[in-house]
Amino acid sequence: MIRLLSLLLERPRKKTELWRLSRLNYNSFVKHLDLLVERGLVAERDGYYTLTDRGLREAKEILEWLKRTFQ
Amino acid sequence: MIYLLMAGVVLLSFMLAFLSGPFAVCVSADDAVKCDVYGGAGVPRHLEIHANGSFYMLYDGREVRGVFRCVNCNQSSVQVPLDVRAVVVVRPPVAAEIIRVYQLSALAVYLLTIPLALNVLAVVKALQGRLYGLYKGLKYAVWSSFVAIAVAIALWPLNPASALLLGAYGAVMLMSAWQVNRRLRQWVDTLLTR
Repeated sequence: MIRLLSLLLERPRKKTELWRLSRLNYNSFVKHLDLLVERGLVAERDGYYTLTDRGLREAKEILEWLKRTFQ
Repeated sequence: MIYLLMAGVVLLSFMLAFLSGPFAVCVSADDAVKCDVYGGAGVPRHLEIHANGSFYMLYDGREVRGVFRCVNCNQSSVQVPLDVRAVVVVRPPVAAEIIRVYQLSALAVYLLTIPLALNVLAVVKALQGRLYGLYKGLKYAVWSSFVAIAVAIALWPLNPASALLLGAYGAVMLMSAWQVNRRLRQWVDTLLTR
């Protein structure tokens, strides 16, 4: 889940690219992606998956918190 | 946590260098060479070698006296007595005792490279500053502390002081990384159930 959020935080990606980079098996990948879409964190636009405003805000918050924790 | 990880890299590098390379300070006295051994694990702490071939050493809290009985010995092998891996103590007429000087030391000490490598990986991942990198760094930190504690247990009979230091570092690192990991999981779970 964190990996998917991290990949989408960099830029919108096509499903196949996201799957390849996620290093998950396809069923698991689809399950996680569907959950993220269902919870309104990720959306599909023109064949690209991207973080929604909420997804972007949450992912950035986690990133900042982790950076603070590491420092 | 990055400072804790970096401190771990320094600590583990120092321990690896110190424990894997015992060194001795020797003093020539009359007909003997008397050495105090520092560093290393599972090595004698004090060693005396006399010109007549007899030796005395303080090993694992006990005193051992005997005579070197070399097999395929040459002069140089006697000159570097700290390289011996085992000493056979012969007590006439037949009793013999083999004292393995190194025991598990080599293996236990070189196992330190595992948490060291994991710590370096964790630091590298964390410094990348990406979300997944930081997450992986956290995972490496947890594994590193587990291995550090395991190695500390293996090292305990050989070098209690170093084992204590390593175990304490592993415990602090484990508690710290575990807590962050737990908080992160809770956060993600909340995100997905809200």
